[in-house]
Amino acid sequence: MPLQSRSDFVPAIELKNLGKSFSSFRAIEGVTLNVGRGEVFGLLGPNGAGKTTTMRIISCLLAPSDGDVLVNGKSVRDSKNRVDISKEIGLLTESPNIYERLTAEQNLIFFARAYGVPEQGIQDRVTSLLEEFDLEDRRSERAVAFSKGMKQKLAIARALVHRPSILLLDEPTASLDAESAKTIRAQISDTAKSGDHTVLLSTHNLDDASRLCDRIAFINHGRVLAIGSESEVSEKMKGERTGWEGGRVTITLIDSTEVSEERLAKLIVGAKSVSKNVDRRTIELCFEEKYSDEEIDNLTSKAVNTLVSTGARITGVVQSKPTLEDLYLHIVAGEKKVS
Amino acid sequence: MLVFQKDWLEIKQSKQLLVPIFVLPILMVVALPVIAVQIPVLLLSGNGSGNTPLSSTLTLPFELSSLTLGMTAKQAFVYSMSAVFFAPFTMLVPLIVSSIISSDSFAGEKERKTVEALLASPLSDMELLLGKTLVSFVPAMLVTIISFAIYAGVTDYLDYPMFGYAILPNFLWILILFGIAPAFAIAATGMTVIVSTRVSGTREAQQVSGLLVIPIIALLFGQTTGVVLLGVNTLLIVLAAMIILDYTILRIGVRLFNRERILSKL
Repeated sequence: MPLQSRSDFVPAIELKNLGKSFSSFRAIEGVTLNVGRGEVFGLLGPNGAGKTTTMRIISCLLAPSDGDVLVNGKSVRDSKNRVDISKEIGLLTESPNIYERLTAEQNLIFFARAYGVPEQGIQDRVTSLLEEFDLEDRRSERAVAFSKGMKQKLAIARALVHRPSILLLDEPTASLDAESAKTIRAQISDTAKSGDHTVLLSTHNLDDASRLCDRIAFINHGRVLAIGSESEVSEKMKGERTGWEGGRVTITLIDSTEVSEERLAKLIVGAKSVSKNVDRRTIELCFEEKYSDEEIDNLTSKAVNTLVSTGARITGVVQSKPTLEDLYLHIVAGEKKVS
Repeated sequence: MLVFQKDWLEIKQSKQLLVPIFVLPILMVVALPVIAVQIPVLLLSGNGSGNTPLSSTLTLPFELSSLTLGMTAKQAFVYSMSAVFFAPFTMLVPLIVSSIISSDSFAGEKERKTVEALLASPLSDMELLLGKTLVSFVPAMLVTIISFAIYAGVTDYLDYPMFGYAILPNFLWILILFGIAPAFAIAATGMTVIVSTRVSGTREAQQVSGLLVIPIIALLFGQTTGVVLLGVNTLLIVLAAMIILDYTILRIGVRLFNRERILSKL
């Protein structure tokens, strides 16, 4: 059942027909979506899509031009709510936002105090975060000496220092090397799994979105194009011409086949396209959209038999479904609205 | 006080800030006047004219002549230069120091990309502005007082044999140190903080706040040409004007402080 339809869905963040203009530039246009408590929600879109602007409005850094945002029921439009909302949010900005002249410990203490953490609890909180993020042995070292990955860890620790109920993560793995990105992703995953936080993740990294998010909003040019889990969006797109109509099947052969692609396309029933890899040992079939999953299974069996009849020896058959990258390219690059 | 404490910790860790904050004022307030006044005096000593009564050698403006009443020509030269003429240099110190530090505040945080997390915190506009202003004002005053203390010490050490008493500090310098200098520091800090929130880098912030140096240079120029003399009366007028300017700048600062605008310049 879609998450939003569930009876236990309690919205932590509600964007209601949100719009934002900078002079004549329209950065966000009529964005409406809800993020549930305890949910990991992704804003997926290219640079300039409006993700950071959305994050800044939620954290009361920018005022909306139209519509409203409710954070745990409090409107960002009411300036009296600014302090309460900011205390409920932990913000990881696109760049680490770490005071490099200060030590890791000093960074965390400053933000703990700024967010009103009781003085007697600050040392324990700082120590536990430094331990959690593997920075305990670097606590007295100035952040300028830290690697990008360590700075990002410290920035996440800083965002968590006041135990916020909502975590806004703006491009958390951008500009990190693969190893650091993996560590940060694991750290975010652990934080999300704890269930104490609602996480809104802005990213253009498909891997981050796929691995971390319960639901994703595909966003471009300030508009939401599709919302749902990866499978929900994929389901909604059935019947659309995505290049994945009816599904894809990859068949691997022991030896290369000399039969041409044109000939194979004629022989294999239901195939819209047939392509051979350069080594001629991998054949990719794309079936027409009218076929159901069951029919594709049958057609795949027939295709295998047909190939065997041409003398091919088969080692593997894999049915592929559209990946998040395919959905992204179809929705975002094609500016396609999926309802 | 939280922002003040944080920025103070940062300043203490930055050699790029500490070196100009201490070296430049000491060079300007201590080295320049000592070299310009004491070396000529040492070179001229023993030529006889030093003990000539002032009234027969120099015509000084009324305010200065009342300060140098009964002094010899050499004493009057040393006193006029050390205790009066170089006084405007002391006013430059709070300007230099506060503009260096305060341009590092919002503009520096923008450059280092730390400002967004700071603005997203629950700290109020007043806490941010006050913290950023105080962290420039306090070191500016400290450096001003330290520079003057060194200057007064050197001057009195060198000139005590000539006068038989310490010529510094006098009332003029006390008025400058505890009246004019703080007023200039507040104006420079306030202006730089305001400008810092509206530009994207420390250089632009420093350039704009550097405009405050113009009236002081004008004072120095006026003294050199004899148009203006920094006597007590002139200083009281300058002080009154600066208090009005400070009040105006601080009001404008509070009114113009806008988190969205600061972020839009990132």
